[in-house]
Amino acid sequence: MTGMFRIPYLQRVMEYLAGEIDAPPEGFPVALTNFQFWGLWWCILVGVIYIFSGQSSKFIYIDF
Amino acid sequence: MIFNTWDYYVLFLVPAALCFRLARASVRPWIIAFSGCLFFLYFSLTQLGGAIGAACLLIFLWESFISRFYKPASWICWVGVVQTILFLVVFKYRNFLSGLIWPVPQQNPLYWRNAFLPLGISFFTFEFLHYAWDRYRNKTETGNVGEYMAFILFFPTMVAGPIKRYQDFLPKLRAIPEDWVLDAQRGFTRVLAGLAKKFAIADLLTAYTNHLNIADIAQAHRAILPLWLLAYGIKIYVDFSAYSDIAVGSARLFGIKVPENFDWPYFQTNITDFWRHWHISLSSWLLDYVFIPLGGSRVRVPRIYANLLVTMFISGLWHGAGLNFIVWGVLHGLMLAVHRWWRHRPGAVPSAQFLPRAFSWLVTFVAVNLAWAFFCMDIHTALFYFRRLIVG
Amino acid sequence: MTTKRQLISAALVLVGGLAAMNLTVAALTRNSVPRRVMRHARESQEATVVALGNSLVASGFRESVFDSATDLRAPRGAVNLGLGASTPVEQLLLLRYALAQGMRPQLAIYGFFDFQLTEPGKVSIGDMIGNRAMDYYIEPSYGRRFYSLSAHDAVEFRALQAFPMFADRGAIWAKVEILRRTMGQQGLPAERSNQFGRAADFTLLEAKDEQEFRQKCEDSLSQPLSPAVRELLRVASEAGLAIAMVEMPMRQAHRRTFYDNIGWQEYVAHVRKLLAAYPVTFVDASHWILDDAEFDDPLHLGEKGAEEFSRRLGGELRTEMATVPALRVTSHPGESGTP
Repeated sequence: MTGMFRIPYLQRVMEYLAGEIDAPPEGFPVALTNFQFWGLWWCILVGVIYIFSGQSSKFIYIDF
Repeated sequence: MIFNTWDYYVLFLVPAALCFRLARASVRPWIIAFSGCLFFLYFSLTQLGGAIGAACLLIFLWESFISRFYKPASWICWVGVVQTILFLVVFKYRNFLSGLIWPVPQQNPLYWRNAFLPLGISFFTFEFLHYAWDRYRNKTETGNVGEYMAFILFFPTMVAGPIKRYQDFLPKLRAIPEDWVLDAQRGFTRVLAGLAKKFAIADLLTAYTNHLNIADIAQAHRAILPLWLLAYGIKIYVDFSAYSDIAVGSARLFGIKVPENFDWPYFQTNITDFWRHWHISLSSWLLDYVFIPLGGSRVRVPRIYANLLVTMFISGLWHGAGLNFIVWGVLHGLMLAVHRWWRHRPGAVPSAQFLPRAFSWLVTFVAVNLAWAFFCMDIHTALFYFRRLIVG
Repeated sequence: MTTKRQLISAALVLVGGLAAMNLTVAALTRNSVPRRVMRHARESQEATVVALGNSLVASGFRESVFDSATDLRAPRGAVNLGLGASTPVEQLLLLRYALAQGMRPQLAIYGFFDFQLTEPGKVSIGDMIGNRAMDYYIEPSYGRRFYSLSAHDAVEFRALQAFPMFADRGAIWAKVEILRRTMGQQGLPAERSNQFGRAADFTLLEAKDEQEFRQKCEDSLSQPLSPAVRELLRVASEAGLAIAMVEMPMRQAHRRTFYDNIGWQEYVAHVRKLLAAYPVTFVDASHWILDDAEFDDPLHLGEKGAEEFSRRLGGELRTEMATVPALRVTSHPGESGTP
């Protein structure tokens, strides 16, 4: 039951991390709102994009 | 396929956003209009329709011209509405509609062999229609030609929405953005998040959804079939919401906030709320320009149901020129009608209890995902899928 | 209100992160297939025979079997530098790399198929991934001469070649592709695959139909040897190598569909005429493997087929090891040695 009430909070956290809302939700760690954190978060997103962005390549040989 | 190219960011987004920020207020709309023209030409030439596709820029230029004559209660607004619908019919529905009469393309005198869709036609036509209709009803100001061209040629939203409203866009276009650092941070984050969603989730799920065809459905183990359809439901949400993220994030780099398009639709506990949270700009457009003009909810009950069906029929048709899309739309119309009946039956009170709400959520989620079968497969394949799923 | 300094500090963290990612990719791909082939070249400095080509050679040439057939003994035997999904440009770079590492072979075996010797080197930057990523780190400015990149791609090549994230992206993407294939296989009958990928995918490398193949034969009659092939022959000659150009074995079903026609015969005659200007031995091994079951997929030899091919090639080339190279056409169908 407690988990259900946490869902709105998690939604707001995800919206904040995705750049959808400008202000972090109440209870969000202040340390994670500084710009060094955002630089690190961008690194993670860029890393994810990099790893998964080759899926439109047509692989015949896969032995790399 | 445009938002995941380097050209979009390097040739268009960053230079245009920078110029927009640095220019004085009177020039800003023209920067958007000019960059939008270049964007349309470039991606039409390289991806859609070639030189003829690029020539469709004339549609925008013509619209910019004729829109100057829209006045409240003027018949010219109707000309605008009719011509826009004609653009849609000719480019998007010609082969489909003529194919209903002459199913064999070789015997179809109206068949357009090299048919193509001008870039963003499904979206810019709806913006044209909205402006013409709202000018007719005096619900929006004219603005100057540069501002209107900026509205229709704003390239972040040109390809896949959100479908903007002029009266929302204009003040934001005219405003002087204050906190460019916050805009840059939020916009950049939003774009990156959209790209990450698209590649890491949507594209990966195509490993399942590519199998939604007759040959693979026929030889697959029955237990995998629900997973494939569920994967499609997740993929289409993530894919489309990712495009919206990139569009909204790109617009934010200009300091312009465009409307959100998705708000956790799969978390909703009924179909009506689903459509308030899914592709919000389209559903609100359909509400304002189809459902309400038909009478909305202010008519007798059978007519309300008919209005819902007609609205969702148009929604289906807008999504694609095919009978399967119409079936999908009508299915959702039926679901909305059923939900309306359920909600308005005598003594009905929405429950706040966990179990009924969880059950509602489950029913909504399953119904929406089952309906996707008609969105991603033709009718014959979808029926074959259900046959295999249910009967084996 | 957020400040410029905060934004810049975030950007700097991102730049630092990108640098770290590049180092990580470099570490993760230090054992990529091209690097393994390069290492094999470095460790085989005493080899007397070097085999070059694409995956047909990589899978079809067995060093130890060839050595036995030619009475060679490791480490002075043969070294297989065949590289899957490679073109004559990469094969040339590998030969130069091997020679630069101190290898002094006497014989170069160059295995080819179809129009490989005359294909022009028109590529885009998008083609230079996977094993062809070696173009970014083995003599990139030398290798680029043999590709006709567009101006846009040439700039991109120069700007990004030093970044492992760009150069070796194919190796990372291949892992995701394997994940996709694993996911996609769930609930479906198992597909046959080998070290190079799904067996059925290699039919995509075949011509669409006989008509298209015949047209290609006709179009290729006016093509010279590609610049990379000419350069490879020059480099090999300069290094004192005897050169054997080997038309690799093909499946009989494949041969019946595409190759048993006058167009292909004319093309092969055209290639032989072009090679006549060079001191090479031409070996037609295309019909050596008669049982299609000895192929792992439409193109690549299986274990048994590779052994048979290597043994027979050793037998054919025994005398080349000790003689001055001369142009000789061997192994016409119907001549000695053909079943």
